[in-house]
Amino acid sequence: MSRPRPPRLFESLLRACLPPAWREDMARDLEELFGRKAARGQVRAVLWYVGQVLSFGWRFAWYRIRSRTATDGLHPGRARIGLGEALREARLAARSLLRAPAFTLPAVAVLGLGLGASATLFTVVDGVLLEPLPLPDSHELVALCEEHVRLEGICIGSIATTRDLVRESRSLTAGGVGRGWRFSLEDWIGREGLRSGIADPGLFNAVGLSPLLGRLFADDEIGPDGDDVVLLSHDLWVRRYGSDPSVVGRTVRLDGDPVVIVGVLPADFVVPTLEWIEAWRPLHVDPSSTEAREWRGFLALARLTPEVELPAARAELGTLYRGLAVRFDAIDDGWRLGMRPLLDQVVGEARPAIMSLFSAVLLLLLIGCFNVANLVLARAARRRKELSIRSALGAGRGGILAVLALESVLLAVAAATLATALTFGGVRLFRTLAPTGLPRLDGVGVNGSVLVFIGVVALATVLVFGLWPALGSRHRHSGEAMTRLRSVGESRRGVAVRRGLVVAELALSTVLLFGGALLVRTLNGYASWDPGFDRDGLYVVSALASLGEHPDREELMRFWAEVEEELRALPGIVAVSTASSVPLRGGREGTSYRPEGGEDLDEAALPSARWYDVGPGHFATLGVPVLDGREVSELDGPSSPSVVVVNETFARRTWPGGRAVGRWLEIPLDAGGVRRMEVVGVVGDVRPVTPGQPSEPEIYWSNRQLGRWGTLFLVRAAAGTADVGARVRETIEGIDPTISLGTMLSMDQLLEEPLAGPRFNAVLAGVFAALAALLAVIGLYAVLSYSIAKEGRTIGLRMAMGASPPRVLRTVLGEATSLTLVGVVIGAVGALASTRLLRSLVHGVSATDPVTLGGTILLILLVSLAAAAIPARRATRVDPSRLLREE
Amino acid sequence: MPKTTLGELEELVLLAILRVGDDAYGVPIIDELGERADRRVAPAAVYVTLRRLEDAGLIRSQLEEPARGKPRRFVELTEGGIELLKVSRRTRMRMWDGLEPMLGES
Repeated sequence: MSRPRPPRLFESLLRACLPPAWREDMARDLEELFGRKAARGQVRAVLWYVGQVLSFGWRFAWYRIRSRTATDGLHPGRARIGLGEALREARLAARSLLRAPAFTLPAVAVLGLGLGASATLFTVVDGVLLEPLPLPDSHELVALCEEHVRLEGICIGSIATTRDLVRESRSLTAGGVGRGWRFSLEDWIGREGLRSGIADPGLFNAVGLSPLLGRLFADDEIGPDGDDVVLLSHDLWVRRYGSDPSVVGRTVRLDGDPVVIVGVLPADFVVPTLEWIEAWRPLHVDPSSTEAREWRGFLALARLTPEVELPAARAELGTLYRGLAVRFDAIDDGWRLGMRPLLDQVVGEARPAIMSLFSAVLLLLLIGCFNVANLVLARAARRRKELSIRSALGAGRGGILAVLALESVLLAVAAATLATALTFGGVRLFRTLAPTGLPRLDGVGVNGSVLVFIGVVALATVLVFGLWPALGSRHRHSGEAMTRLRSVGESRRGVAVRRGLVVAELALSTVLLFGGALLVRTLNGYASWDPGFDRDGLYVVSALASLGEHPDREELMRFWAEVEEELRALPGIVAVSTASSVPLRGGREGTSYRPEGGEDLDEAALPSARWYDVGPGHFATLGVPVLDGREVSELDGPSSPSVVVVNETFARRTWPGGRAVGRWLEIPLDAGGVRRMEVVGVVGDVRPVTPGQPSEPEIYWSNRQLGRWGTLFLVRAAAGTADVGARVRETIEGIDPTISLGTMLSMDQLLEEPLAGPRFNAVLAGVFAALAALLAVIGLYAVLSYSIAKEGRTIGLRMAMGASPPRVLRTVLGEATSLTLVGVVIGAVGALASTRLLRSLVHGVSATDPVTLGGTILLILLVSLAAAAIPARRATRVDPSRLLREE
Repeated sequence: MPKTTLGELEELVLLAILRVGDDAYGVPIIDELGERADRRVAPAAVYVTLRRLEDAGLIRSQLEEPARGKPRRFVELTEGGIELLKVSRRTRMRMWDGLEPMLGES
């Protein structure tokens, strides 16, 4: 096997930094050390090597400056002028940079912006995607997912199956299930609707943390007779009980049932994705019942046996699951067992969006670096006279390199400073804008490694591109290297390089601008979103009836109707209705159904739809139009035929071309059997937030026929009505004080959450697009104007031969146009190929949209013509003899 | 003006060269500093020190082809270097003389 070698580029840089006498020896030694590091990881070794190049660079530069002023053999000029000399050199370099703001400002801005954007996204990637979960040995935690062929991507679990798997598997040491479940808490302080959950004891064993006080659930504390205990989260214990340890052992009521507080969980206890739960009660279902196997509404979490690899565990559990499917009817052919690291489950949908943005931003950084390289190259060519003079005065190649290096370092420091500020600002902005649903946002913060990343990339970019022109020269001796740059502009190779740079810059800019333009069009889609109903004056409050006070379902339904009546009588209230969900919020409960005309369909082939229950007048209250038939009404009671309303999409998909009203559909019941319902109305679709995404089919049945203990009250108030929340609360509590009420929110507040995610993506996308456009324009201008400036001599010659300025201008622009066209064509192909990167961010517009592409190309053409015209015009105005003399 | 005192890293590097003996080039010196002196010194710092010691005439270097492997620049102490190490040691011994009991290391 060949020995690992350090990257060539950095090896050349290293050699350039070293004194000639020892150059080869040191490079070989460092290669030997690199070989050792590489045995422990290639990436680390390369990073280490880059660090060494920087270390050698500055140490030997410093050594050289000091030894020039040597006063004794060993400690050259330490006390005398060492520092002063260095400062003087730095000042000179700084002055030289400040004298050329047309170079320095774009270079610092481009690099700073590119770096700041990528460091911000790197921080997010690190905090959200890479940082392990804050639980002991969190890499062993997995989510067990029962996945159904018809419920793509949904990971759910049931208590009975999870228990069987954990008991029979050798790959799992513990596991259990949990989910949110609202309870109304009543204690010596008062009544409160809790953000609570239910779980089985195995869940806590799997998480692997000891209680702060008291104990966790015992193994037999589960099922209808074992759920008279409760565990408090640290937050609830502090907030409600003032951290009083004596609450452990006391009895409180949950939904009227007396339960004992058996323990308090530690502050760092979290069940990922269920972090918000403040109190846990054991699952009230008998884990050996059929219901416990069919009820798959849980997060199932398990801990792998140490040393067991995920694929092996997956294989074993897959086999066990198929065994369970044979034994239990509740697991039909459509079910599969999936298993994924818990971190993946937690990060879930956020990953593709973050990763595509990260790739886009890396592209941005790449182009930023490319722009800086172009700027540096242009500057080096412009300075060749200055450098030749230095060389003529006796400055060696090393000395000239040192000057260039010092300038590069200053440039890097400025860019890194800008980038650091941008990163802190960017991360703060990200946290402010990020949707509440984004997982692990608390873990996102700028840390040391991000700052090192900024420093290393800034320095490496500037050093590599700053010194490359000099290093790339074949003339390795004396100042000749720099003076030879003189010929770059004239030689055939030089022209080819320059044209290549222009074409590459144009192509990259096309890719970048096209991506940016697609994102801006997506942003427009969000801005013009209209849900299809009237949000003004609409308020929502959740209400939970206590099972103890309202044990009978029919009585409960009458009770809800009575509350609705009372609320309608309030002054200023225009309309009131009830529903189990509101548009775009929840309604996540899905069911399969058999439509009329689908009698022959196989059980497994039945379509599914989301549903929620609604009360009379619900759509009128919302302002959603009834397109055909009617809404559910008070007349649709428990004893009258079951009715259902569907949305437009449902009607169109289920009975294409026909009328939906009057037809029937059947849904399976939890208790077995089916319920046949007649469609009495079709209502308009509520448009999804994401532009271009189709509406989902939805079913709404009457909560007067299938009522539940929890409901939402929707209240529409006339404009200017005061204290809606307080009056609604007083009214409901006046009728039944045992009702737990949530906080009343306006519809706008409620829609904030589903809107926040897309809006956040859109804002990020907008920022990206703006940066992309800025970088592309700066880069194009820099490259083209440099290129045209190089043509100065040719222009001078032509004019000396008698060409008129307009004619010269036309020729130059003609050349620029042909170069631009080549670049744009290559770029367009690249743009169409690279849209995959942005796909999860682009909505409502095709990722290969021809109008956007055409606009992008037009813009690039305009910018490049402008970038070519300005320096060309300037050149035609200058006296030709002067131009020729300069050359 | 001839060199009369040694900095700490210079002294450690000179001692490391002596310890490594005939095979002393960059990498074994760095290893020796790491293992015996428990000092993780940046390679660049070691090479700068070697350069400085050579400029001051305390070591000399020679490019040699070892029995196996690539050519290396091996270093050894000059008499001046050995002399300066002795001076340094004597100075330290004089300073240490009689102090051990105070540090509980008699």
